[in-house]
Amino acid sequence: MATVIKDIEIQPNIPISVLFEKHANFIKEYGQKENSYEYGMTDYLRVSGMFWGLTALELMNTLPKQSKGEIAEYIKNCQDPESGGISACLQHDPHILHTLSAVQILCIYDNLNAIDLDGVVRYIASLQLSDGSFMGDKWGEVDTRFSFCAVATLALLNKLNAIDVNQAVEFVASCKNFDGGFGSRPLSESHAGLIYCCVGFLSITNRLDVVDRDTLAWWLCERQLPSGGLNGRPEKLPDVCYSWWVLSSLSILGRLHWIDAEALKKFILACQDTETGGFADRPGDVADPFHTLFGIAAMSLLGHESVQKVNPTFCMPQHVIDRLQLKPQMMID
Amino acid sequence: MTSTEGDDMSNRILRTIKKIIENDRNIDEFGIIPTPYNLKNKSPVLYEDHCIGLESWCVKHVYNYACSNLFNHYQQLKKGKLCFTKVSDFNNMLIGALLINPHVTTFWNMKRELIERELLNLDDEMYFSKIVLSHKAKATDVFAYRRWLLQRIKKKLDHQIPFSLIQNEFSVTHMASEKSPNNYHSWNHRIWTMENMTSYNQLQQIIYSELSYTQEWINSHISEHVGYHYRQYLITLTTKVFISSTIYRSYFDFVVSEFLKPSGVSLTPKEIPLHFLGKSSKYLPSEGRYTNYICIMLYDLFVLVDKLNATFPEHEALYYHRRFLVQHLLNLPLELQNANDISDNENSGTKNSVVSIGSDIRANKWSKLFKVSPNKYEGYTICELVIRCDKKFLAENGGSREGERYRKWLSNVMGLK
Repeated sequence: MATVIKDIEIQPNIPISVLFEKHANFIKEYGQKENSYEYGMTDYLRVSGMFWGLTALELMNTLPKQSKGEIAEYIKNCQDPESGGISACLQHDPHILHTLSAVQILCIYDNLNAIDLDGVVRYIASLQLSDGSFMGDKWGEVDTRFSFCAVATLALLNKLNAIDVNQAVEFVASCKNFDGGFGSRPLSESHAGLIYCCVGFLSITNRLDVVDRDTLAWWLCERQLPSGGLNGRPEKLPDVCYSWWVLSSLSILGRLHWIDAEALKKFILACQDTETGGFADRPGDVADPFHTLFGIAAMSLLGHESVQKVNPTFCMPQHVIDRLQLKPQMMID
Repeated sequence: MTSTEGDDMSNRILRTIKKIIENDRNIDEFGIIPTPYNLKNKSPVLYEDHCIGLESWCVKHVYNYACSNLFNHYQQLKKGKLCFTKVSDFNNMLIGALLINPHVTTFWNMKRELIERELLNLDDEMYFSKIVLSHKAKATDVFAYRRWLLQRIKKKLDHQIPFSLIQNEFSVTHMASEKSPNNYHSWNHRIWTMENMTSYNQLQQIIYSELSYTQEWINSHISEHVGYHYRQYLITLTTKVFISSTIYRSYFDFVVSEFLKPSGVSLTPKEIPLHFLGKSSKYLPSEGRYTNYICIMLYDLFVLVDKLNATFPEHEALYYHRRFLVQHLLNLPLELQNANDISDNENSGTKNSVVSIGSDIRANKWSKLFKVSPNKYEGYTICELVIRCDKKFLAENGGSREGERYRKWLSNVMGLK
């Protein structure tokens, strides 16, 4: 019987380098028609979308169209004065996902004082439950993504002491599975995106001792497919965003050399749209800022000399993390 | 079309959809029908055989109309200034907007606010969110909303949660799992339902029927790892909710006929752990607690995985299930022993659950998992059985891609040569 590996085939005529100029233009032009229906449909992820686009530009050493002041003004208007949380878009409700994205953006532009920082800290602290977990907003949904958002936001503000870190670690540790991976909640299936959140969380809280290093690294390496691309769970198709989730986790674990970097580079390059610019999830699909950031950031981890160094824990330019004097924990041989 | 005409039309469409949902409590599916232009000059809402279709040409108008009014209504609601007559318009717009774009968390929050003011009905919302899932089976906000609703329903009940409510949740997650392969959110929701909606005395029976459900599911979805993961969750759960009288007969009978009868051994169910775990069974928390656990895993390893692999070879997901079974069966004796050691330490107060390390971890501080002594499995019936089974399996499958990956995992992660 034929073998059935779910994968894609890389065509022979793929680009052999990163098309920086096209990607920069792609990001700058993205979503310029503010009144369009398509733009309105993505309102709900606007601030995170800004983080993807602006971080990608910064990693490519390119300035955005908007000024630092305009960006800060937009974010400031998304802060809810009552709870202190930040929403995706004007009029939307605050959420921890966008609160982190907003703080990340302001850190990149060294402009944290544009918003009410005490409000942000108060908001994050208000979302912790007694078992250590974090809700995404006041309505109570719990997820390890939110644990990552909480500690990443507070670490960037140097306010980790505003929450019960030990209890938060206990919760994340309780999401660990026999295969070394982590899921979105206790008892959930291992998933590369959530593994990044949990490993990143443990890196920020200096608790990588919780990780079963090589069991997890083994599982992560098995995400690489014959095409060179990485998937996020067994028997799923490769996707550029997993180049980031898997690679950043392996970097933090000090096991980046366990995957075939050349094959992965080829896959990532093949996901570029040579006409519009930007990266898609897979070769031939429509490009977007989300996959563009993770394509560029993965190239940075793979040592591409024209991309700024990215920090694997925060997914932010390393020079920003250095400026903030943060030293998230890493495992080193 | 002028903007007032567009608004009137959108309003009519929203009302039509709401009316259909109100009158037909058995809607199977909502979908958007690709129709680039309004050719027929008829209502773009199609309704047939308990299915609702919305022609795509009008989606933009309806969504933009809803968005431009929703936030205003929301503000008024929060200020307590939304008059009662506007509540139904508000909900019509929310229904339309969420059917088109269920990823907007704030729209779901608007519904939550309406429920908190008792302006919407919990059962209606359970039904509506199910229709949304028929259209977007992976929308995580919908499952979050259902969990929030279910918790409110649970709080209102003064007795045990009716089984029909649990069954309904299972059927909704089944639909979502069928519609979207490898659906992380629907299976997570099924686990959540098990953990939060069942009571202890129902669980034994539910686990058994869920085990049958997953076996059927896996048979027709070999490559979906998430289905195996759910079965693994159930297998582990059997040890946590053990009532001595509930033995899952089909798995026990398999073990008797496969491993006990041929060697002339006759055992009662509660003697199973002693037989397979030997000396380590003295650490068992109670007699027979691991009977179902052991029997199901032996059945999966010797029957389920084997049969499926023979028919559908080279499935990573199936191999991963094998890993789960092998690792858990092999480690069971040692785990019981360790659990016993840890509880001894806890009693003597030496357990230190929180250690702060504070800097990068270097390899020499790291207890290497990859240096396992193979001798640790010796002397346990269960381990010898599993190792023998694996030898045979590798002899038959060792040369293939997945077989080789499995061999490497056995030697590197499990420390078996």
